[in-house]
Order: sequence, then C-alpha cells, then structure tokens
Amino acid sequence: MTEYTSHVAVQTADLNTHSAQLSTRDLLAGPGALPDAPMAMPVQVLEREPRRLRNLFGAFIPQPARAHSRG
Amino acid sequence: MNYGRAALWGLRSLAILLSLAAGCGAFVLFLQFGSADGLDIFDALRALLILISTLWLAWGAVQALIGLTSRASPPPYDDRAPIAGRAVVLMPVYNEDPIYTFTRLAAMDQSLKDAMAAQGCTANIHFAILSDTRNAQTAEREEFLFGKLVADRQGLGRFFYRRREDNTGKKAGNIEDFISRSGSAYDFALILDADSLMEGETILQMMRRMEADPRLGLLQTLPKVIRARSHFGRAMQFSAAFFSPVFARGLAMMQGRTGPFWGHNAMVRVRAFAECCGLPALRGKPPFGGHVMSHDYVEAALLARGGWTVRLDDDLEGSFEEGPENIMDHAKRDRRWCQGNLQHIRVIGAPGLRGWSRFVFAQGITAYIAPLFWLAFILASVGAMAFVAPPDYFPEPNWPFPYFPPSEASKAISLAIGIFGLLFVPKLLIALRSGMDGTARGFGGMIRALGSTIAELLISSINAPILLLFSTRSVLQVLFGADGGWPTNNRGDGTMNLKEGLIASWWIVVIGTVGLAATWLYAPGLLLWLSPVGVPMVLAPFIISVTSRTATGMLFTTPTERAPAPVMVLHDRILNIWSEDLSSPAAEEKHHA
Repeated sequence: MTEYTSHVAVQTADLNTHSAQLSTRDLLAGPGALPDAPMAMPVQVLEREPRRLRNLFGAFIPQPARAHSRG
Repeated sequence: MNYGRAALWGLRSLAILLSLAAGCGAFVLFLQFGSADGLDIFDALRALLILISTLWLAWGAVQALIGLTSRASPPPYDDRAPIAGRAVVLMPVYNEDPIYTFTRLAAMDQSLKDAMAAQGCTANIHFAILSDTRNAQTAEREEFLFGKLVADRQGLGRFFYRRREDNTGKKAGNIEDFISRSGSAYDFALILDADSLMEGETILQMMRRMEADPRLGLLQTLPKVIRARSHFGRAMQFSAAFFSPVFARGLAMMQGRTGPFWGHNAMVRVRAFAECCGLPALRGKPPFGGHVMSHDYVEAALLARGGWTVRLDDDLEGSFEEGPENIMDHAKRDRRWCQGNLQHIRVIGAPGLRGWSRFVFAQGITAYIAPLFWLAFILASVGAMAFVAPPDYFPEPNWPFPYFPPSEASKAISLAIGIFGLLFVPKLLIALRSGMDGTARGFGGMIRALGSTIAELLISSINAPILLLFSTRSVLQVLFGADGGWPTNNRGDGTMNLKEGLIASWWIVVIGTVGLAATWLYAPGLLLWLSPVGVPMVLAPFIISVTSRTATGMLFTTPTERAPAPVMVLHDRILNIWSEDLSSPAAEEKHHA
C-alpha cells in the first residue's frame, strides 16, 4: 500500500470464512464483489469544437428573424 | 533541448528521411520507366501511388533496421527492491469460455506465489474478472467457475468478479467502470485480454519498474504469441517471436516518453489512468462517432498529453497471448482494428497531444489505407496498358529500317527488386543476426530458422493478396458507414474446410478471376507481373482452408513450443485438473444446483 491506497480498506479481512461455506450468490454479492473504493475518472476532451468552421459558414447563411420578446 | 531529446529527434528524423528517400527513389524510377513512351496521366498517377506505398513499406523496413542496431536492456532499477504498492490484475471477458480464462488467472496466481517464494518477497496483488458477457449460459458458467477459482486458489478477498448489465464503451468502458468503482484501492492495474498469460516474475518486475519511476504512467510488454496449431497460426507465432522483437526494438528506440499501448499485457498507474483516460463518446454515430474503438492508442496519447511516461519495455520476457488460427479470424479481428484506427481521424487533432502521438495515429490510419494504394496502382497499371498506343517502328517516312524504342524494363525490374527488398531484406537480416548471436538456437538452429524465415515470407506473400482484399473491403465498409460491431474473438480450433473457405471468400475468387481475365485481354504484357497477386485470389478458398489445418513439423518452431514457459506448464496442469473435476457427475450436479 502507498500513500494513495493506504486509506482504502479492501475487504480482505473476512478470510476466516471458507469460500466453500458460501453459495455462489453470496460469494458474488459479498467477498467476491469488487472493492468499494471509487475514483473519479473525468471525461477528456478529444474533439475540437467545430466553432470556427460553424461561424465561418454561419456568416453566409441567412438567419431567421428573432421573435419579439414578450417581456 | 538536452542530448537525449536531440538524439531522439535525430533518430526519428533519420527514419523519416530514409523512408522519404526510398519513396522518392521509387517515384523517380517509375517516372523514368513511364517516360519511355511519353508521360501521361496514368504514369503520373501510378508514380504518386508507388511513392505513397513505398514510403509506407520503407517505414517498416527502417524501423527493423534501427531495431537491429541495439539490444533490449532493462531500465535502471533495483530488481529485488521490496514492493510497496498494491496491484490488481484485470481480466475483461466477453463471451469466452471461462474454463480457459479463469484457469489462466489461476496459473498466474500460482506463478506469482512461486516467484515471491523464490525471491523471498511479498506483494499485494488481487485479481478482478470484469465480465461483459452477453450470453446467459456463459455468464452462469462464469459465476459457477468463479466459485471454483476462489476455492482452488484460497482466494477469498483476493479474487473478484463483476458482470455489467450493459456493456457501454466496450472494453474501455469495462475498465473505466472498474476504476470508477474500485480504482482508489490500487496503485497499479495490469490490464489483460481474455487470452493473456503472464509470468509472476514479470508482473513483480513490472511493479518494481513502476515504483522506480514515479512518472511512468503505463508500461507495455511485448507479448509473444503461443499455442498456435495451424499453418497460418504457427507462421504468425514464429513471426511474433522471431521478427517482432527487432521491430519492437526499433519502435522502443524512437518512442521516447510517448510509447505505445496495445490494450493488454500492460501495467498502468491507476491514478494516472483515471486522471487522463476518461474517454468521451465521439460526436455522431459509428463507425466514426460513438465510443472509441481502438481505445488503447488514444489512452497512450492521453497519458502522454497529461505528462506521464508511456514506455515499451521490450526486454521483459514472460508475456504471452494467443493469436488467430486462420485467415478469416485474422480478417475479422482486422475489421475491428480497421474501424478503430480509421476512427482516429476524429482524434488526431485532439488539443494538446504530443506530435509523436499524432504521428502514431497517422501511422495507424495509413496501415489500413495503404492496401488501397496498392490496389489503385494495379488498376491504374491495367488501365494504362489498355490505353497505350502501339509502338511506331517506322516513325520516319520512307526509312527502310525499323526503329526500336529504348526499353525501360530494367527500371521496372529494379523498382520491383527494391520493393521486394524492403519486404524481405529486414527479415533476412534478422535471420542472419540470429545465427550470429545464438538466438536461432531457440528456433531449432540457424538452418531451421532461415528455412522458417523463407517459409514465412512465402506464406505471407501468398496470403497478402487475400488480406489486401479483406482490408480494402473493411476500409470501404467503414467509409460507407457500416459499423462492424463488437464480435467475440474466436479462440477455438479454427480449422476451416474448403466449403467454409469458399463461402467466406467467393467474392475474392470472382475479383481475382475477372482481374486476371481483364489483364489477359487488355494488358497481356502485365499478366506475368500480376499473377502473384491474381492467382492467390483465385485460389483463396483453398489457401484459407489449407493454412487453417493443424500443422506440425520442423518449420516455424519457436522457443515456447520447444520448451513451454513455466506459466504455460502451470496453465496446462490446472486446465487438465479443472477439466477432470468438471466432467465428474458431482460437479455437474453442483453446477446445475
């Protein structure tokens, strides 16, 4: 364990239970389930916004007149 | 710029310049050949196509030549240092037979135990099976065998199993789901494929290397293909064991801190991966939009963008995978990779990427469109011959003697020799060096290694036209918007009979027959030149069937075939025990309970 993982207690403690004592369902829901230790995985930017091109072409496209606001 | 960076850029520039020189040489030679009867549009087009195609071939050859100049060596680190970090071995599965995948994990666990006992060290390593299996029966079998795996390996609290309800993002989404749920429990994650197998010793050394270099975000090993049975599979296995290390050496020398990720048999620093590799769905629908298919290249580029080192340590042994056993399985896998690589057109301009990462994307895209250039060259050649004017032997009126225009055939022959040289010379040099440095001993000695090299060149030359058409079809399918989906890899026997070969390749036979007939009719002078391309197409069903058959013998032998690696022996033993256990009536009863 390092400074990043030392605070995380993975459920390795309950090893006194023998797996044969567990049903498959209990195993999968209990000690066989993934450790609960979430880590954020922010979504990365891969594509550039097509803003420039859109603006360029947009300038040549006639825009519909805006509706009058009520307020 | 320090000396290391200058040397790296010098090497990269040299490789690019040499490839450009070969491409331009081919271009000039072809123009000289074409100008014998006056240059026309066909000549210019063909010269351009040969420039691009030769450039691509030369790039591969140069990589091998660079690889021949050095040997793989470990980075500076203590290979007996205590291991502090916690690692998890991730095995994503998708409809594969769990008896094979789970026994591989059992073998790796035993191998780790043996390695730790031999070194007198300990390491905290868990195993997680990340199932994306859709087949309910296979999923049920996975759950049952997971119980057996935990019991056999006394792995309660070390082995985990999770099956996703929906497989969003495919393999990349599967890994991402794991990290989002459990990532902070681990420092390192060893990402495998369902057919991966790794020595415990290798895994421990990977952890030490990750700990020795805190900026190392991803460490890729060079997996060797094992357990091939067919002619096709064994030729690929030989190629991966004999040639690939030299090509990989060349790549490793040019990669700098921007190495490759091939999606498996690699260790990642979980924190770095989480920080940099959350992949968005691309705008629009597949094949170009949607989830990133060839996620590994993108993840390597994103780690490098985030300032992490991505490295290929080609000196690390004990990393294995299995390969396709026949041309059809190869083409099926290639279809997926083709779509994934062409999708990188959308990613190559991603903000902040390193220049080399963009170059790697460009290489991956070119790998799939290069066959189209060859095909276009052949078509343009036939077209040019059909439109060429017959030679005028009496250009001067009233002159009694015929005039024979100068033949430029020697230029065409030189060009052909040059192109075949780019394909053959690196492999022959590798064979030669293997005899001098003793590597050939593992391949049955110098004579057998050389024989295997020539046989591999022959088999790959015969298969090339068939694979050229499969690649072309894949590219056209992607360009016309057809999504190839996510088919399961066939990891079974793979033998195909003639009928199956014909069903799979009848369209190749038609193209080959029509092509040869058209050449005979319109450009008979090219028939001899084009027969090495056309004849294998006509014989495609036969070639597919014959190369898929089980092969034994002297050729294509590899070190792991002659003396299986310890983890392979462990896997065989465990697989036998499990197979016997599972065929017993008691096991059947328990499974259906």
